[in-house]
Order: sequence, then C-alpha cells, then structure tokens
Amino acid sequence: MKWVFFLTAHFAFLIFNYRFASAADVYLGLEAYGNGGKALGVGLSSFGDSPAAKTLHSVLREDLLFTKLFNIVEGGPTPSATKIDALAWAGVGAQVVIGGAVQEQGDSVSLDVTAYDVGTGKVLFGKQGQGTHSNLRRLAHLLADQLTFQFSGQPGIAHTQIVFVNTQTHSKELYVMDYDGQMIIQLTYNRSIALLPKWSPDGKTIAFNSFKAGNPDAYLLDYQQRTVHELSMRQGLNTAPNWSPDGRMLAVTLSRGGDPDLFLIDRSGHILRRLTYTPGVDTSASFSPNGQQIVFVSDRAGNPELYVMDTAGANVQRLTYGQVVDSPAWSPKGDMIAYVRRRGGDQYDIYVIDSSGHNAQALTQDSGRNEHPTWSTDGRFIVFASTRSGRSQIYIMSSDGSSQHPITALPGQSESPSWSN
Amino acid sequence: MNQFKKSVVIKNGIYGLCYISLLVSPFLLSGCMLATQQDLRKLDDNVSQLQKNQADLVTKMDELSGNLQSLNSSLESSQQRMSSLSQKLDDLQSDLARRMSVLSGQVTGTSSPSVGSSPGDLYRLALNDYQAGKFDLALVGFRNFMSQFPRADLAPQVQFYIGEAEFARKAWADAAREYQAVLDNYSKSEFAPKALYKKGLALRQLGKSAEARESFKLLLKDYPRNELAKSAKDALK
Repeated sequence: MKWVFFLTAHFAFLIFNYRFASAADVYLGLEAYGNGGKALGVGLSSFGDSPAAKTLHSVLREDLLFTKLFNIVEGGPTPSATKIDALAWAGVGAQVVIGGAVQEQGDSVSLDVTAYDVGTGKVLFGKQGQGTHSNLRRLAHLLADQLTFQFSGQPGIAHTQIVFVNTQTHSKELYVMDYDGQMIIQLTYNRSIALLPKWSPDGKTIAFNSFKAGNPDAYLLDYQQRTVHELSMRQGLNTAPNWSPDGRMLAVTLSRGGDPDLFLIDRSGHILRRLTYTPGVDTSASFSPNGQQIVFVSDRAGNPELYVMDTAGANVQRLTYGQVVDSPAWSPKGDMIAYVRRRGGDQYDIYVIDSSGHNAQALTQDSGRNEHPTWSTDGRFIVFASTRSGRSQIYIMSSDGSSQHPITALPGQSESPSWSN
Repeated sequence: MNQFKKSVVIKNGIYGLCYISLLVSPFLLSGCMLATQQDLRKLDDNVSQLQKNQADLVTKMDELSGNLQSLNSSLESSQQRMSSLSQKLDDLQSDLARRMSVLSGQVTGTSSPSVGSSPGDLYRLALNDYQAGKFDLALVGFRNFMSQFPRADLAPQVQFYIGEAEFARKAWADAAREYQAVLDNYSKSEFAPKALYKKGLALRQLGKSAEARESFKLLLKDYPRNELAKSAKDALK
C-alpha cells in the first residue's frame, strides 16, 4: 500500500508549459522590481474552495515563504483570465500577483497558474501542471520551484528531500521525507543499526552504514528500486561513505584490521587510492564542490580536528586548533565548511569556518546537542539534528544561523540528516 | 644341581634387583622431578618478570609517542601562528607602500598610480574563485599575485595553487610545469615535496610513466620522512 502511494507520489506526471512565451519577459530578476535584495511582494489569490485547491494553495504559499525571497500577501480581488485590479493589489503590498484555477476529473487534478505584474496590470506568464490527488504536495512543490526560478533566477529547493535515521521502531532505520518534513517514508527494515546516510549528487542513490551483517559495513540504496547493494564489506570499519560531486567516487574510512584511514573507492567498492597513512583516526570526509579537495576529521595531533587535503591525499592543511570537532560538511557554494564542535560536557554546537581555517562562527549555542549539519543544494540553508526539545529532532536554519525551526516531531530519536540536490 | 641353583639364584637376583629398582625409581625420579619443578618455577618467575618489564616498556613507549604527538601539535600550532604573522606583515608592508605612494603623490603634486590590493586580499579573491570551481578565473588571480608579490610569505603556496588549478582543469603538461616552478623557486618551502608528488601524478596522466617514477623516487630520496613518502612508495608499486 505504502509502495503504491510512494510510487504514484514519486512518478507524478507533470507538464509545465509556457502559455505566453515572450522571450524577453520569461526571466525576471528581483532587481527588476527595484528591490535590490529585499523580498518581492507576491499577492496570492485563492485557487478555489475544494480541498485539493486549498492544499495546493497552502503548500505553494509555504514553499514561497521558505525561500525568504517573497512576502506573501493575500486579500486582493481574484484576478480574471487576462488582468487584475492592480490598484487593489498594490494597496496590500503586492508587486506581482499569482492567480490559479484547479480542475478535478476523477483522480486527476490540473492546476493553471497565471502571474500578473501589478505595475502594468498585465499577464507575465502562465504555468500548467497536472497530477493526482495522492501527489498534490509534489505538484505544488514543483510549481513553487518554477516560480522561484522565474522571479529570482535561483533554482528552488521545494522539490528536495531529506534522508535521516530514526529509532521509533527500536532499531535505527533510514527514513526519507520532503524538505518540509511531510511525506515521511521508511526506507530500511533491517532491525539493526543504520547510520550516516548520504544522498548521491543525482539523488538516485543513498550511501549509508549498517551493522546488519554484524560489522560496520557500507551499502548503497537504490532510491527508485528500493534495493540495497553492498559497497564495502571489508574487515573492520567501512564508515562514513561520502560522495564526490560527480557521483563517481566515494571517500570512506577503512580500518582493514589496522588504523582507520581515508580511501577513495568507486561505486563498486574498489579502492582507487589510499588518501591518508597517519597513525590515529581519519574519518568523516566531505568533498569540496569543485571536486578538488576533501575536508575531514583527524586525531593525528591528539584531538579530533579539522583538516583539508586535495583528492590525491597531498597538501594536508590543518584548519582548527584546540577544538574537538566532528562531521564537517562543505557548502555547495565552496566558501564555508559547517561542522560540529564540542563545547564541553554534553554541549555540541554547529559552527561554520572558511576553507583556510579563519572566521569560525557558532551558529547554535546553549541548545543541547546539535549535530550532523548538511547543506541545501543552494547553500542557503543547513539541516541538522538537535536535542534542544528533549528528543533528537531534525531542524533547519539559514546559513547564518537564523530561523532555526524543527521539521520533525517523531517518536524516538531523529538524527543524521542528509539533504538531496 | 649347583649350577641349576646358581642360575636360579642369579635369575631371582636379577628379578629382585629390577623389582627393587622399580620400587625405588619413583623416588629417584621424583627427586629429579623436584629439581625440574624448581627450575620451572624459577623460569616462570623470570618470564613473568620479563613480561612485566616489557609491559612497562610498552607503557613508556606509548607515553613517549603521546609526548611526541603533543610536541608536533604544538610545533604545528606555532608554525601556523608564525605563518599568519608573516602574512599580516606582508599585508602591512603593502598597505604602507600604498600610503607612501599616495603621500608622495600629494607632496609632489602628481597623482601616482594606486598600488593594488594587499597580498592577503589578492590571495583570498583568487582562492574564492578556485573554491567555486572557476579555475580559469582563479589562475588569472593567482598569476597576478605571483607577478606582484613573488617574495611574499604566501608565494610558494600561490605557485602551488597555480599548479593545482591547472591540474583541476586537466591541463597536465601545464600543471607539471607549474609544480616544477615551485621546486625551482621555493625549494625550501613545505610545498616543495607536495609539488614533487603532484608533478608525478600529472606526468602519469600524460602517460610519461618513466618521468613520473623519477619524481616519486626523488621524493623518497629527498623527503624520506615526509607524510607523502608512503604515498610515493605506493605510487611506485
């Protein structure tokens, strides 16, 4: 049953076409509205009274608000097919207006959306999408991304998903959810310990660790087929596999009965290159978005500190001194690295630092254990796990640490999130 | 009759002797065994003493190793601070030169061409481009740095990064040449062994495996205790 639900949700049939394809008008920068970085006032009129229309409307609204690029205002008059009451909408603070009409026939739902310019009162463009009653949220997410790109030039992230670990079944299993915390689906049923999932760059595979064979082994989960393949089953540790930006290699920590070091392996698990040789533990690797460097944690100097090296294992540079760190994640913009720093006792906080080891800044404080940060694909948000409310839940914040809010309220502990592209 | 008795007596005597010796032998043997047991106990004591000594040695070695690691870490920390100070000095010098030039321009009444940014700024700008994957742009920035500040503290690192950016663009021949420039001009810097290793990798990509092997062998010969020595050894396999 869940399968059917999931499959229909995932393979939603969506058509987006441009009703008014005027080449010059198709892309509008926010600057065109003289905002210079301020949020664009978007008037959102009602799509209709049916439950489907209301769902589409509210999900679209939430998605647009999340981007922090738009101010959503409502209350203006519903636009007609070709024009709007520009004065009324300008009065409530809108610079563009989005009107929509929903048509339902059996299980299929179609949404026609039109964007109007308040300044001229004219139509800017139209979008059309089609789905079913069981994947309304995804339809709205994809539309929100189209609108975000159309108005800001930045790709939207409303279509993205987060994979994480949860213990409500008294085992650690992998779950996946939409970036807004909805549509949670269990992925593994191994009744063992699953850890450290990481999305591949193309979103088709999840690399993770599991003890289901009695050893910390590395596996690949095919997200569409829901099959699990062995990645590395070597003696000892095969921990924290993480993807290169082209998705062809993974950095992984192997101990092979000896000292845990970093290795580069391909998707079949063959060792391409050994990266570190030092005594002590080298782990928790994360690639830079230019594919040339790896940030990792090593205790070669006594404490677990942050280091950067190139993908040949050469040019190791130390980033932190006198800290106790874990789980670094390189921002997709390339400029900053998020990581966890232990501040003593049970206090773990998310920090960011630039790639030469300067300008370390705390993003969380006085809020329990905050761990496993990973970035959204646009580099503007960070997802992490926090115990500030008692149980460990998944939180999202902006990359400057503002707007920290939970997106899960699940039983058990929710940990180790990874954000898809 | 006498001879028969004699043989019987002798036979009985022999049997008697055997019997008596069998009776007595355990005591004799146990005497030997007593002696052996004592020896064994002595050996045992010696062995456990040796084991204790060995355990003590291992503990001392662990302590030494820990102290060494801690010393290394302090050294690294000091080196990083010195390097940071040195870079600040470069930036200050360049800032001073700029101010002097502005002042002298004001005094003589001529406008002098403004000297550009400090080494630190130039480096950071180019590094940002490199991190963002804009290797061509980064190369322009790094080369600009090298033409302006060839003697700055950051110069060996920047020259190495020129090699890295070429390597990232898969321009193997250019990369090898730029790494060689680190070896030629900054042979005493920490980047020399790194440049030697990457040069070997670049040559290998070009298919020049003999020259690549020469680079790795040179690394092993000149920097046998460098952290890249093990990588070079693996590369030669």
